[in-house]
Amino acid sequence: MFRLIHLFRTSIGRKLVMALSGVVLLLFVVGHLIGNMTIFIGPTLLNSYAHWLQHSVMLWPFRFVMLFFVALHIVMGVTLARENQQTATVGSKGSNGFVWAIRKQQMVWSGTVVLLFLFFHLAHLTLGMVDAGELFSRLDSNQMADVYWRVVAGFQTPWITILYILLMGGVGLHLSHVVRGLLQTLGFYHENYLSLWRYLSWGLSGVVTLGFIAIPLAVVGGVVQ
Amino acid sequence: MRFQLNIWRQRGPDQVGDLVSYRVEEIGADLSFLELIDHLNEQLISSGERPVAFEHDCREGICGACSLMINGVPHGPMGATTTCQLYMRNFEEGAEITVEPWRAGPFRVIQDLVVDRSPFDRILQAGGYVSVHTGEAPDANGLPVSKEVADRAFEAANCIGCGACVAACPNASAMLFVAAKVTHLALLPQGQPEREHRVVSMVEAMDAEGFGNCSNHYQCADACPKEIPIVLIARLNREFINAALLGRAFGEHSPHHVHQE
Ligand code: HEM
Ligand code: FES
Repeated sequence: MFRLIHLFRTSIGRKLVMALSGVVLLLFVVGHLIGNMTIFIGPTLLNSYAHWLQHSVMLWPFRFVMLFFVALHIVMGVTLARENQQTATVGSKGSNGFVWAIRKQQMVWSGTVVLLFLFFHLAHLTLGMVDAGELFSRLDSNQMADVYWRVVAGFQTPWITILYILLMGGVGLHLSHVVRGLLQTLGFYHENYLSLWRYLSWGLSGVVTLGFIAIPLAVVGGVVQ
Repeated sequence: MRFQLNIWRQRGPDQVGDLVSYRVEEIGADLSFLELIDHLNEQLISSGERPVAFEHDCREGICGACSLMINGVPHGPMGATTTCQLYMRNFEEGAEITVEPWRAGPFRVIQDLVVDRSPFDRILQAGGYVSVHTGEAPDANGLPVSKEVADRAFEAANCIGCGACVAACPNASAMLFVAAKVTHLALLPQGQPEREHRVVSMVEAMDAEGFGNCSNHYQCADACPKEIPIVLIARLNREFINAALLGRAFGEHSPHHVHQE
């Protein structure tokens, strides 16, 4: 126990917290993507999937666990970023300041975009605060909440769709840096597997980002209606 | 050749510094970058000004003393080159060149282009000793080491401790340096007895010196004049996490043994 507390006081231990909480978030994101892909199979599947989630006894425990890891990830990320701000490079006059400043804090601002996305997304499709109306009480022919309809109607408003896609780009930026970093922090980054990890990194972040963007595009394009 | 140099001038650690411009002319293309500054200093001395303080020792790329930020890049634009091995033919005629000291919290500027890199010395000291037999010279192959392991260890041992990795890192992290030092001994049989203790002490010393946390920007390996591979940072993480979770002395008290001369 003391060993673990001591570990998390060291720089590498803190990175470990970042990476492990990040893995939990990453697994959630991938799971969420797979679940959402049912929309391309049809309303019945998506709605019964959503029904199953909504009525699971594990729903609230699961939400609390996610909240815990999101909070841990944010608190530790901000801690690390602030420490780095203090110890780090005192501005070099010769270097290209602006690009550097953006790249330097890439994880913080892309992480913030992820957070904004999360708020917006929950407000939009879970809580129905953006343009609720009767959307949220509508039931499908099986008397289940019509989540399919909620998504299709939800992306009829152009600014919502555009905002969703833009913020998703930020999520993609966070992810594009995450997989390699994760493998590095956990110690799996090894010369024998460099190319595998690179493909995995681009592949995973690409599939996740494009997968999520595909949904509003399919709605707008009329593929899903 | 002719150049316009913008050089960081700072009288002392607590003084405010600034970039000052100088013109140098009739510079041979085969002069090294340090010889360029020698040339400038002669010019300054003959006109009664204070010469530019900068560090150098071997001038053959093996000691790590020369440490200049040239146009915002540690050791200049060539890559895999120390400042002393950088030649003026690599610059364009009439180029404007900005020369600064390493910029990193833990490296204080002492004067002009000279920074205090003793935090690195203290990290090395925290690493402590290796237990080896002294006395007679050992048999050549008394301790078998495979070629592959020897090569990997040597790759890490190439680190000359110049600090370019810290200067390049947006967080001023010293992970690549510590990774090279830890890997070098962790791979070899001679480094085994103190292996766990060494990595824990060195990482704790690194944190205590106030270096930043690695954010996986990989700028360090790009800047390294000795091309220390980035994967060593993962190895350092592995060594440290292993020692912290499974090793014996971790956490009860600080196992920080300062080496006594
Ligand atoms: C989709 C959700 C998210 C996932 C999958 C995720 C994943 C990860 C992972 C795996 C890492 C560790 C990379 C490494 O070991 O270097 C990481 C780092 C980071 N994350 Fe997230 N993250 C998410 C959301 C967020 C949010 C909401 C923030 C809030 C601001 C955030 C801020 C950060 C920061 C600042 C770092 C870098 C820490 C450092 O290296 O200094 N992330 N993320
Ligand atoms: S002076 Fe020794 S490495 Fe440049």
